[in-house]
Amino acid sequence: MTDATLAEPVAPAPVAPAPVAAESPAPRPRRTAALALKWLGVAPFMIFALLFLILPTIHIVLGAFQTPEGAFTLRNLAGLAVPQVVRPFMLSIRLSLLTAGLGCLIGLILAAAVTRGGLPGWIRDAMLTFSGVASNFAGVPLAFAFIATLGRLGLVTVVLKEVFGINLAATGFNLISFAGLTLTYLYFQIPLMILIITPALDGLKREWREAAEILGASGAQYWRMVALPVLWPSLLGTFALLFANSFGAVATAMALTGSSLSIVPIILFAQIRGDVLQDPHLGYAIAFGMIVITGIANLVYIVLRSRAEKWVR
Amino acid sequence: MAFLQIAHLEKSFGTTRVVRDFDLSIEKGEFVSLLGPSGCGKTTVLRMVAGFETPSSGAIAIDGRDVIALRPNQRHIGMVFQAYALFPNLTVAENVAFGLKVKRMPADLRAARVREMLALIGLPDLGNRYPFQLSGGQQQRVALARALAIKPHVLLLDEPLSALDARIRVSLRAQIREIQRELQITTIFVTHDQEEALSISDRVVVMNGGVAEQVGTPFEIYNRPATRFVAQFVGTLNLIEADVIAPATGTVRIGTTEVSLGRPLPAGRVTLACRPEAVSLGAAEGRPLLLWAEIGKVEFLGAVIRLRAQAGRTALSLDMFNRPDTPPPAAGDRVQVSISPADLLVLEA
Repeated sequence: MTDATLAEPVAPAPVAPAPVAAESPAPRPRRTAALALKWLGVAPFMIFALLFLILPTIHIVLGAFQTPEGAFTLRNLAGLAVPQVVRPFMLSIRLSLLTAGLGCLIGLILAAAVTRGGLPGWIRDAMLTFSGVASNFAGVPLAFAFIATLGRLGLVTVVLKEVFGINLAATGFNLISFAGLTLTYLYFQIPLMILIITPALDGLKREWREAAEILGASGAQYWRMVALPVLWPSLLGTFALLFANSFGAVATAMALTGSSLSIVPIILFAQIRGDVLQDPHLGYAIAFGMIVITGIANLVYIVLRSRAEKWVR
Repeated sequence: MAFLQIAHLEKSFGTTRVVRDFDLSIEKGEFVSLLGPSGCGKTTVLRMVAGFETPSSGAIAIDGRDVIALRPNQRHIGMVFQAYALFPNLTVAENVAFGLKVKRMPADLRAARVREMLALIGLPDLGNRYPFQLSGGQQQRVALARALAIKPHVLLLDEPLSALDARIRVSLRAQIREIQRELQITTIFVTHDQEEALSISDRVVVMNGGVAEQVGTPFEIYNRPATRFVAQFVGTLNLIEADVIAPATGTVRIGTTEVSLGRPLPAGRVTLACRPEAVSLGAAEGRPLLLWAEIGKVEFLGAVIRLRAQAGRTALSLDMFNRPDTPPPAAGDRVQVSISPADLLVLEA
């Protein structure tokens, strides 16, 4: 009895596998073709990423460690320590920290107002639509828009002066300055914050607030003990993303200030363009420095974002 | 005066009246369930007691004190939500301690109370875990501990078991009832599950269309439903159309069978109702209402076998105990069934 029971799995009856074997080759080419078709769908992205992101990045990183003749060197990185390069880096970092901080703060307030402020739904829809457009509105058009509104002869400047008697220039405000560039950057930083933080605010469950309230907490205690800690990884992550976004922006600064404000992307541009300062390999090193800083900011964003998602899943 | 008194409570959202003239008195330590279908207003009543919704009119008093004007954080009420609502950034122990921390209880007393609560719910070793590391049943037990930690006057349970699977639901509802009895805390439990409500409660409020259709013990609700809705919503019901041929003696004709119910009935046509367990196979003494029926379906439910039968134009369900020595009839069998007049309810039109 026992032997018979054990014997069965060892020597199974030959149960006609032939039809299965005969059919199995047919689906394989179909599956392969389907898989190939799926890869074909993402091929444009892969090619684009390879040509305009991966290969240039490799070229820059390698170039940062090479002499013009192609030999290995650390001289280019050492060149980053000179005041003419350190100062732009510090200026870029200051600008990025300030615009990221203000963008986060103002964006959070606006997003909180439309998601939890009890306002009509259409305001939220309108703001999110506008934010989608504004967060991508940068470069020469944005610079021109600000010059046309807040420049010396801009519409707002003129209206303020003619109608309200406020002379912007007399207050010390100058669009082609650190403050002006900060203001211009905020035009896309705040909407980007709104777009990113709105889903996180939506993730704050009504029951959390109600549970906190019925346990005796005030609104401020709920925000301090529950809502902000839950949002904190998202806030820090978005701050890092906004920092990277600002740090890498070049066209807006270039179009707005020309070369009068030396932020990193502008001196990088100058090094590579070669009008006055031509040292492409120092340019590679500067670009490498930018990659490292934005890379760290993006890494912080990814880590904190995944932590936030773990909590609210 | 009752410990929790709800009088003439009304709530409208726009032009829709969600709760209408709702009255309920709950004694201290009593466990009362609000039972009804979705949209019947049971959760709205609970949320008005909690303070999350403001009544359009009416009064709510806890221990003699009118609480309508008080905010939720001033009512000293504990609440367990359907979706647990544990704070995801806090550990289990921190969640349980939340209300105590807000009330500025000293840390040592707080820690002792948290230990006591975690022991009460049977999770003494999970204090350092985060909610996402717990199962649904564990999360709901933590939510219960958090609600009880502040020693509330009233505990509100808003469908706390509906997100859990069937086995956990049964064991957790027993645990909830045990803890409630141990702490003698006045409790309102909202559910749409009649079995849950009947098994756990001292009294059940059956709600429909914002109105309390009947308030009674589970025995009363099941055996003496006050309205057609309650009779049909709670349990399975056989409906039998009958013609009253002698209103004074309550004699009715069902098909060709005549039987006296022994109580006066309105003249004309009435709907009689009885539970499946009130219908027996075969004739029996004291069961003068005899009907021939054809078995349609036989359903094994474990200890009970439910038979679906057709008696003329009347569909009947009847339950019999599953006894190995008494096999049930098969589908297609023609059988005689009997009902006691005392088990027949006369439903309003």
